[in-house]
Amino acid sequence: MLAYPDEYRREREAEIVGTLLDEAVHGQEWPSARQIAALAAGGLQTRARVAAATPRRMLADGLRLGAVMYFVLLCASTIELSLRHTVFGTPSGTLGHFGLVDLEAVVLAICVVALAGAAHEIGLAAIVGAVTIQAIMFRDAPVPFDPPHLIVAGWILVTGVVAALAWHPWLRPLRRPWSARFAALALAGIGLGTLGFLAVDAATLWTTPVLVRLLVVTQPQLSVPVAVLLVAAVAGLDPRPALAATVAVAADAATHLQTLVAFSSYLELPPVQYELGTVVSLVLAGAALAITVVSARRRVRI
Amino acid sequence: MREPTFYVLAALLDGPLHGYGIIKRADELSAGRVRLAAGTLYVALDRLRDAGLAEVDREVVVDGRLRRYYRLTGTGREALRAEALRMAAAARLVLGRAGAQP
Repeated sequence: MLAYPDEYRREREAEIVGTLLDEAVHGQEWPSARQIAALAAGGLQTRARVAAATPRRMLADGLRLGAVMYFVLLCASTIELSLRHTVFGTPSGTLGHFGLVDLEAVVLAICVVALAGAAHEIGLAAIVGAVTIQAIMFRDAPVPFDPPHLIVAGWILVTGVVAALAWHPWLRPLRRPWSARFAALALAGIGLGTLGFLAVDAATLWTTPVLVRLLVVTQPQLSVPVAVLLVAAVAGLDPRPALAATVAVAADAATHLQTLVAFSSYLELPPVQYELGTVVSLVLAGAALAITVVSARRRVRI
Repeated sequence: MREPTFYVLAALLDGPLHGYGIIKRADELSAGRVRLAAGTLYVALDRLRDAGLAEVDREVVVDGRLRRYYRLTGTGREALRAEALRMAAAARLVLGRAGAQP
């Protein structure tokens, strides 16, 4: 029943659970896999049905979830960097500032929680803080980073989305906080995912083919959540998760693109990884956008 | 109209039923082919209520379990009939032809 909106649960849970109990075989404690799958899909479709009454809310929810997702991803890579420093010692990369990376991870986590709670002003302040930290790290990096104005390409996109959510009068009346459950779940997922990622990374990074490495090893933090969002969009007949995936992946593609441009002059870095990363992100963004448009246009059949 | 929805409406033809009652009746009417899961049933019922084809009849508490009974509205009865006529016309299209005989 967790898939259903809270308000709907308060109103209907007793009735639905009653029906499940009527159906249950004597001694059965849990619903069957078929029932659980139907409840999950039913919950997602109910969310879409409730939200579809206000198209603005669909748009605002999708954009906000996308912005949150992007910062969840950034937070994940920052935590990874921070853990990498701790576990493997400082790598020969460009970010040699242990303390700043830790601080950035905390600021990004604040950003995720603030956006999930619809505190967009605090979210924007956290974004500005994180950009500043990032700029300081790049300024002090052992390898000069050039051109500096490209550092925050993805961030600019998402900052625009957040600013629109906070101040655009058309979206503003629909601001409402989500439950803290989502933010807590996402952050816990990051922590566990990152630890697993580091373990796999240390064992296999240089022995797997490049494309597999990108999708499964190097970018699980992108491909796994995006896959989850797209499945939710299709199963729930809901364009919002697909719109969120589009925003998050487009921002990620922008980040990859700026990394590609900025690092192209440094031959010691493997450029193929960034090129493929950009292509993968752009293809994912296109697919997510297509699913968004199709699911937004599709009329639900009775 | 989707098949589960058709059977939910058909189950309500003979009078109001609660959730489990609809599941059982749809199972009987379809000779065991349509097995509605609770999640699917309530999505269908909510859409039918939104469209004005079904409505809540009454609520009863039995053995501490809340049972909400649903009934067809006039519009629902008409929509079900229209869908049945459409299906009958489609069936005649095939069954009336010599080539369709086994």
